Amino acid sequence: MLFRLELKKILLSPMLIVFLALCLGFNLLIAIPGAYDEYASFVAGASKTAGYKLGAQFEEKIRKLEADEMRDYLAEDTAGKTDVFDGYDTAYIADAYIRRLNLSGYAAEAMRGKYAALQNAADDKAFTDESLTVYFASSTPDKHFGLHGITMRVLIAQCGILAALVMLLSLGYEHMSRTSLTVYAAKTGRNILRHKMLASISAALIAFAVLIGLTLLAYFQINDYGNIWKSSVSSIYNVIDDLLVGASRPFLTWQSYTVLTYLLAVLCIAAFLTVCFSFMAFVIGVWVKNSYVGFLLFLITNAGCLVIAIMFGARLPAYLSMLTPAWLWLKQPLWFTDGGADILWKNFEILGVCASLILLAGLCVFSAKMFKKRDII
Amino acid sequence: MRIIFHEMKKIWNWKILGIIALVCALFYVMFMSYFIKYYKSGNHPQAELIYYAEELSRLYGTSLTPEELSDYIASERQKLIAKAEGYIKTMPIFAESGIYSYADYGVLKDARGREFTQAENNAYWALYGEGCDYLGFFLETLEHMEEEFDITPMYIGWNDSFWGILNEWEQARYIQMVQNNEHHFVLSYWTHSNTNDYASYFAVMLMLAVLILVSPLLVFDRSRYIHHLQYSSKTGRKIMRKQLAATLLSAFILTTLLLLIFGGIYSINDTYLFWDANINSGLNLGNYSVFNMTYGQWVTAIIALMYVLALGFSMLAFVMARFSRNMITLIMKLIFLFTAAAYLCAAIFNYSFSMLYNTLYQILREPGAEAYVSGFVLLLGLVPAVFVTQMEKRADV
Amino acid sequence: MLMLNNVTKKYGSFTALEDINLEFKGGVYALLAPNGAGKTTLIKMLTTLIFPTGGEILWNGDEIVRLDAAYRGIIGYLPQDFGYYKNHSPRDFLLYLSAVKCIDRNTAKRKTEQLLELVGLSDVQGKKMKKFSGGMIQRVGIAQAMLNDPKILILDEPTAGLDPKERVRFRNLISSLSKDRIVILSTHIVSDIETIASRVIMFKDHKLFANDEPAALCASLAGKVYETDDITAIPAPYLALTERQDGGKTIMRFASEQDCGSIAQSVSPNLEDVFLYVYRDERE
Repeated sequence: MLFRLELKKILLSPMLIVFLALCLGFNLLIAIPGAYDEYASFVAGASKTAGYKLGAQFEEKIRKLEADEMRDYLAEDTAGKTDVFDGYDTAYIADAYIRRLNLSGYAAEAMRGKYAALQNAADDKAFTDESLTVYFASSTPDKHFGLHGITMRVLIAQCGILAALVMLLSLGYEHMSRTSLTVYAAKTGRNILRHKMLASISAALIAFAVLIGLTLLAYFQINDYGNIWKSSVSSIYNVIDDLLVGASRPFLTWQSYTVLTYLLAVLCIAAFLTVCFSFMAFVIGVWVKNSYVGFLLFLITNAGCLVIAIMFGARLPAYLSMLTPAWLWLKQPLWFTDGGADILWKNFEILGVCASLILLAGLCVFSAKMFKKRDII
Repeated sequence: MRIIFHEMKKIWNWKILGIIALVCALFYVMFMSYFIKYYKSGNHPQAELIYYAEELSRLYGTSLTPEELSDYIASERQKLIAKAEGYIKTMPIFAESGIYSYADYGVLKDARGREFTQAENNAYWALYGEGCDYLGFFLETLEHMEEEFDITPMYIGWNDSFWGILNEWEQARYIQMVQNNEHHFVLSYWTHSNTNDYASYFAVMLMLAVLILVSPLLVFDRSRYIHHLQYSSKTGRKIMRKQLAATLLSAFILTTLLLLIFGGIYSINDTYLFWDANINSGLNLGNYSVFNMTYGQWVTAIIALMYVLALGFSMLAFVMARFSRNMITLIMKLIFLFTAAAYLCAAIFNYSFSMLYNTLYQILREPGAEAYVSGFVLLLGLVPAVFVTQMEKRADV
Repeated sequence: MLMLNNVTKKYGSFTALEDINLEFKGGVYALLAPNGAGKTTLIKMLTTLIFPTGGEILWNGDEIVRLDAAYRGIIGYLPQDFGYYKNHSPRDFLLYLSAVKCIDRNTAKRKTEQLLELVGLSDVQGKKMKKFSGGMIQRVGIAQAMLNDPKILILDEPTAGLDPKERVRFRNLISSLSKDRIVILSTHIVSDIETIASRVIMFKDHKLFANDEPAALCASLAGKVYETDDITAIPAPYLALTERQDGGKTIMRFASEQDCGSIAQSVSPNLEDVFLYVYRDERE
């Protein structure tokens, strides 16, 4: 009952609706239109008849399409491809990182361990010919990064900010309305924080669903995916530019993901990340009464997490900082892969989200407990 | 004036100043420290070109004739080759690939088209390494300077990929640039780009700091019903004008303070050595400024633009604060205002006044577009701010 | 029974209340003291908004902080600065606070209607509160305090900002609510409590100064309060209390330790006299 009323208070707040509308407007006007690619659109269209698996059959079906420049280019683009994971050895990545970053001790060991484990994923993919799927052919890196590096990153940032604002709004509501004395002296008392937290998280997730739902709906209206949904994200065309290795390398995920399942998995982690940002705002909101200062501290905390990595270089605090919500957000395009040189552990996004949730939940409980003992003046 | 002083006291509270200090420190570490740390070291051949530009400015002043440069390059090259001979003779890595003199090294260098053996590759890069004091980069930089310094006049009427994209005014300006010998100066591309990037990030940080500082004033007063007391006092609703003045003054002071602090930090780079060098220097190929200006004038101009933008955005924040019932509403508005400010700063301060690099000029093709747009932002803030202060006189509270 | 044993509250080095011992059994208890004497501090401790730095507060023998929600479930509280949601109607606001007070939905609806009727706001129960007068808001305040039918009703400066008519109405309301419960009323307006308080509690120098029936407190000044129209005739020292106009003359009420019966008219002391007499140092 109280949860419902707290949720109603947030959801009926005009500022939330206006902010959501402005975010949507920003996404529709700026983030999405730039993602359109004519060749990619052609590939998606072709996939409806030719399927998504590369090989003789695919080439045959492509040849049967109406002849034009695009068709010829696609035929050339997809002809005679071989499985990139056949005989692929991940150890060279670990060696390059260890050499270039002068890693030693635990860091070097963990790095080697990570890529030894990744070898199993590469072998599995080699076995199933996972890389021999078309995705968006040579437009893949741009299209993949366009969705996962730009659009999703913008969306997660918006949801994170929204989650923080909603939490600070809910926690500061009584202070703003001067009802805190009445509310905290009532039977529920300071325990109302529990309801406020749940209501804020629910509101953030509702906003997440609305914002991401509508933005992606518009995105996929502009960008047709046809049969590409079934293609693997570890397609031969999907590569990561890696300066430390000195070349681009395959987008190698720990598990097998199609374009669709990868998107769903990213959305799942993004939702948990939104909850992390909510928790973070809760901790700040409980300690800081002024929501303006609270929000700035929220930004400073996240920026501080980013700075740790810059200050510590290739040392343990920097690697640990990669598991914080701010870094997880920044590394979103590499979720479910090895994560690159600044990640030491397998499945860093799951590890990071779990660790952040546990740590922040602990801080939330601690803050709420402290709040119960604090004078309300 | 006393009221303005009191309003400023409210704006400049320690909590907010502490937050601004933290924000600026984090921003500096994340985005700006790189341009101090790696300006003269770590990046090659950036460090070498900067070294030579500084040397030349000490020897010949900021203007430089092609003859002076040729003389310098000739003598410098001789010294470097002599040094290189020393390394080649003493370091076995060269002998392992059959290189016993700098002439042999030159033969290897000329064969860059073919695939090197491991030993050749090692020898080739050894001269570029720390063990040889980056001699390879120094020699390469001399070559580039020689090739590029006096190339500007040759681009007149060049192929369509360059000359064809210039409009009539730009072509005339380009010809004027050559006639004025604006390229006969020692400012290097790396100095210009370094200052440019540092200034761009600084501008974004400045807008953020100004918005953080000036925004809460009205919302803070209104949340505590202070405006009831203010409006019913002798000063009455004129106080809003004073609050606007306090906002503008605060934005101005903060801009000055941050310029002094971050300008002071930047002075470590010694770029003031090039203060009188023309921005279209032959060592800064590709900039092609729409104005005949020195590096110092360019720096002064972008600082002026920063003031204009800071004042404009502070007034926009003032207007937004007037229509915000609480801090959360204000923050939501500020997020979008800051996003707009950041986009605009990126467009204005990305090689300001450059014909080819500046985004805003590329869109508007109007010399001084950066100044017009900044002025427009100032007006965009000023008009509603004045309107709001006027409307307040008749608003029901 | 609500009991305070040696309760002290300090904010850093500042002592707001020191070594307070009190018992509340039933009836109206008036906390009478000037501003800043510690009334609100005591009330906030009784409502668990702040915590004693020394001593304990017991409800039927149990520490109220330990009782937590069980204790807060039996109190009703109207704060001094009663805030409300401007865009809510009184009905919505009371329903929200019913939820905060863990009252089940049906009871909440019934109680809300009853209380809005009781405080005379039935006809505006659906209107947004942002246009309500101070008196109407205060009535919403008393209604919300009564939602859970509290055993302890705590009212902090409930009549501040009310017009005389509203104040009388309020006084009557409190009087009617005081049956079978403890009403703790904080005020510095003496007329609010003169007729309805069963006991008056006074603080001085952040310590308990008096805890007695109004009549007993007044009796402590018996024979010391006088009225005169010629104050110049009164030998010092005396304490000027109040002035009033009567037939074109200014009648001065004063207190004196000396017998002034021959030069002034002795009158019966009232609570206001006691208040002014006790807090005479703070007036200067």
